[in-house]
Amino acid sequence: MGLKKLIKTATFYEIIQGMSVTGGYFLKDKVTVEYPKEKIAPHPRFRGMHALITDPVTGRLNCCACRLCETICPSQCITIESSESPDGDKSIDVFDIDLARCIFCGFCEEICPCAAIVMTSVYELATYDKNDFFLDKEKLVANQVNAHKELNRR
Amino acid sequence: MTDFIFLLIKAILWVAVGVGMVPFIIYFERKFAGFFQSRMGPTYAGPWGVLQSFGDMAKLLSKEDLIPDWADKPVFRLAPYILFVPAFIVMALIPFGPMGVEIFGYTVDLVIADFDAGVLLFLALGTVAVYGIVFAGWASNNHWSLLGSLRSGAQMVSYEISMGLALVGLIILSGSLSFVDIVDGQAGNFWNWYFIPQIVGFVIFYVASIAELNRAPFDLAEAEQELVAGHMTEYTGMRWGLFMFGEYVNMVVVSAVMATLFFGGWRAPFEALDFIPGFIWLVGKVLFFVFMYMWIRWTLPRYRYNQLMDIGWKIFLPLAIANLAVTALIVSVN
Amino acid sequence: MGGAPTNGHAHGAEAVHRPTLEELKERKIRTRQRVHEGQETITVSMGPQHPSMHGVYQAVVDLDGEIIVRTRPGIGNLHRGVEKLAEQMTYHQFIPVTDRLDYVASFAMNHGYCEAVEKLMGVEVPRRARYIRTIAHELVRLANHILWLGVHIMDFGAQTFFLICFRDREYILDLFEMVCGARLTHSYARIGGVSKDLPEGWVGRCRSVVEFLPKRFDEYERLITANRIFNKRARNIGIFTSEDCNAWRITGPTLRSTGIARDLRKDEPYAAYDEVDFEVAVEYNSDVYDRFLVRMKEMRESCKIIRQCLDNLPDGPYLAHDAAHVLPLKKNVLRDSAAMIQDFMHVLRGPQVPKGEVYRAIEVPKGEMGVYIVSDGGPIPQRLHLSTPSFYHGQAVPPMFEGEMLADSVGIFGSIDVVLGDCDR
Repeated sequence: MGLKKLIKTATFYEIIQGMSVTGGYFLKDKVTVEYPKEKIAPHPRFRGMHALITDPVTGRLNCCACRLCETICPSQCITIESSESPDGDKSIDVFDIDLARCIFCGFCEEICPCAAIVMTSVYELATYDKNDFFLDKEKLVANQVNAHKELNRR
Repeated sequence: MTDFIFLLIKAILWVAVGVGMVPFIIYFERKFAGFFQSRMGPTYAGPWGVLQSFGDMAKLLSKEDLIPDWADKPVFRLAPYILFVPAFIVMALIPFGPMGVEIFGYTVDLVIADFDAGVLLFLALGTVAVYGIVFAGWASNNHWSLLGSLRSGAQMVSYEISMGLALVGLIILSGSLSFVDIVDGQAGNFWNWYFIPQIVGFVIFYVASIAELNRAPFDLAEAEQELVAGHMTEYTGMRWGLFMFGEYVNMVVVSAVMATLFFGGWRAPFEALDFIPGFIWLVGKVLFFVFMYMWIRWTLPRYRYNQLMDIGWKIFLPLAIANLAVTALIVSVN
Repeated sequence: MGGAPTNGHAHGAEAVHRPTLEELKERKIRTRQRVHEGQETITVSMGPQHPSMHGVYQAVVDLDGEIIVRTRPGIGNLHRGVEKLAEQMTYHQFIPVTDRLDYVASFAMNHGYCEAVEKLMGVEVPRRARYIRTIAHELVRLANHILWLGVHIMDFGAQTFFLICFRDREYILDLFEMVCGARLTHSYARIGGVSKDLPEGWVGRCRSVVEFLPKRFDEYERLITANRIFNKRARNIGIFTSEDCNAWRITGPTLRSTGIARDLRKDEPYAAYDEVDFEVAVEYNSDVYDRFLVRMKEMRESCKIIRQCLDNLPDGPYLAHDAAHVLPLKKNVLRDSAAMIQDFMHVLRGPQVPKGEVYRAIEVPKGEMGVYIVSDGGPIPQRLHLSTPSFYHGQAVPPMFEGEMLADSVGIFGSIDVVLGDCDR
């Protein structure tokens, strides 16, 4: 054991060095974000709760009931039922997403050929009622207000 | 009669301050832990979260009092009290002002008990507190608790001796075992305090006191990462709270002892500052040591128990004996 | 006590004494000799609910005093049948499932899987995509090592370190949220590239993070590297020599701490690793402390790699133009009917896969991750086997624990970096 090391040991050199680091944090600004009071806005690609987009002009759903999202979904959480509407278009009767199954991989959004289903910035999904995890068409359409401004057209 | 009344007032006052400090020290521990970790600590209960400890207390009191079926019930119940009753006894020995002060025309000694062998009593009672942990671990009848209490026992034998020997040098300097005399021996400015001639003794005592308090880096009996919660594993609700309480009362008391022995007790660092009551100086010094305990706890990793024994026997014991020899030599030459 | 603590990067490894294999073996045998057969033991169960067990690993240990005599590992509490799931999913669909293997370093898992599938399909990945993958992989390595570091040091009892590390990991998670929309389960790699291009301003932000993190690493080192308690605790425990590592198929930083410079990034380069300059971090003592040093070095090397990639980031497509194997670009799908048909074909039918089998291994943060695919020409794999590092590392726990103290067991277990999602699959 060299003299230098002996002195360092006796004076608790490296312990004081370590304590200076934590002591420095004591005075610095805190990184806490006090969550329910202040919230961080997710980045524009964030994959949160889903939404169905309607055409701003006609007010009809963008969705054409091609069922690609239903097919690609790895956790099979999307259920779509459609029928022919009187004017000859496809109408979406059922569009359900079971959020309790969803793994938020974003494949539905990525695969959609008509930019109908998107993932929004809504991330506060905790709830006291399991039924809230079940999103039907109305909830999905209503959620489109939270959709990211620039849609992720990669 | 007046003596007795004053004794009662002093006792109640001192204990009230000691106990009253504990919730706030727990609050500060949590707040400062947050600050050291660059977060904010408790903020909700009261302004800046100052009432956090009281909220915790209410929560702990409302919890179910659970005693495991296989526990040794009387010992299980007794254990938390053993931990902190000795601390209160030590409190009585600590002077918090000069002797023979005139208050409302009465002459009062600002110490509860000027006991001749105060330092010895402190060391003896400090050892008793370990029984609380050992009992808790044994009575819980749980492997984690048992390991915790075994560690605690091993820890005790390794640090108590060097802790005692570290104080002998100081006792030689002061020529007395009484806390009051030791404080009187440090009269004057801060360079008369004993920590300067007894710096080695102080360092040993300080490190050993961390071990006595079961705090990181020597919190081997508790060792969350290894032993779940050590001796406290089976305790719930307010019984667990009593352990926490005991730990912090011990912290206040050991800090007060340290301030008294090495840092002039209630005396101001400069004679010019004597107009500030001694009580405030003492509390200030106590809080300083408590803060240092927190700082160390939130910075350092934990020793292994055989390493603590290594330190106790192979480093601190020889150092303490050397310190004692050198002190004795210098004192006898003078 | 060991020699002077090494910073590992300043004065090079030459100054440090390199123990030979025999010395290491002897040290390990000395540890094992603490075990005396026939002693009365008590049995405690570390995990799955032990506060410091990583994940849901269970180690039932027999203790003689505090010496561990025997260890019976228990895995499978997080078993999800990932390999079986793969047999019912198209190659694209399986990508999000790989996120759930090593959820601390999701992108690395995506990457390993996609590399294997690309090898099977013969897809050429564009240069930009390879660079982006390299950046993302190194970021994920940083995130993994920072998290590992915090948890590992907390295993030794330092509480503050854990939160400091978690705070710094946030910067990297933020970068991932910007680029792919998720903080943990990235699902960022795709067959033939990555799912999205780097967003605007990302490169500058990433650069500032990798400039800033090394300063934080210096802070970590000030806090812990020379710390006498950490040195005493971590040196000479959990020794696992290079022979043992080979016998138990231990890879990654644990192997590199035994003096073997095996790193697939160097040995079998993939992505853009052959175009960047970096060093393989190697240490020689094979103990917990050296695994810590190896990871500290690796974090600095990762920052170096990311900086180089950002400097040389080429332009071009980020996803291969390969209609048979690769999902089309979303903007083309919305515009172009050919791309739309490609989209439909990939979802409804799956990619066109040749018959054959393929094995591809890459260096993920925890070790070597191998993917073995048997294809019968259909759109879903006939058999997919994942050889993930944590599984092998978790296996090696009993011989590592033997003769060690209970107090060190958590530290040793932490040092080999096991994530149970990766282990149980």
